[in-house]
Amino acid sequence: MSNLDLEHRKNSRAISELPKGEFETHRGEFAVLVAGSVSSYHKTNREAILAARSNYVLGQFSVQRIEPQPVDVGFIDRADYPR
Amino acid sequence: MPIIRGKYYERRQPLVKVRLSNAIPHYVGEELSIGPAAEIACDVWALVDTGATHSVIDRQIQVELMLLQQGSKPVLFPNMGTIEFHPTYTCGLHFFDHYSDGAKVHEWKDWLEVLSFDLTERTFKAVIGMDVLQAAKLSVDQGLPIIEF
Repeated sequence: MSNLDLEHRKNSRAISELPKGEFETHRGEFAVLVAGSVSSYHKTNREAILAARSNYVLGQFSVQRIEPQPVDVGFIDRADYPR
Repeated sequence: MPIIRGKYYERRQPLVKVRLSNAIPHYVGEELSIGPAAEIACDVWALVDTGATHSVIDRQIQVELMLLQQGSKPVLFPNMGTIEFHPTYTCGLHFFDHYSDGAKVHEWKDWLEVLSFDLTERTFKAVIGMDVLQAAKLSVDQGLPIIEF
């Protein structure tokens, strides 16, 4: 596993560790995450990526939607994933 | 309100035509560029799946579009009883009407956050999940599958 992937996973875990009130306030929005914590919230993925890329070097940040985790990929799993 | 008409896969699974692209900002030297100079796109059938919380694209398409990893999400596989982390990416999404000579009928309002899986040998190369469908009216119970945004 690469350092980049480890960093993304650390950032992802930060979403599941958000206080309930903060999670519900920002549910459906997109977070810029750096070093395992939320840097900023944005209404759209576009806004989040543009903000992240103007403030951080590529690879130093993650951008993720605030949503319940884990996600369910539906039909793919019920059909025949993984091959 | 654009209406997107699709078709059925094996009479049960609704499919719609979509264009996936890398039309998001990328760096050209030190400058952030949103121009179409390096735009890559591909037209594929996408499964409309109300059971999926998140949209998915084929891993091969992610490679062809040269999408950069944006994050990582835990994914539940109920049949296997496991949760695994999978990388997320961002791509552009356009919908096409299957019956209107390939005219683009709807551009998804935001850059789409997607997971990437191996969909080799599938009729569909993308899955449109509830992250997109929650903004739409979906009708699949008679005639053609229709999505109305």
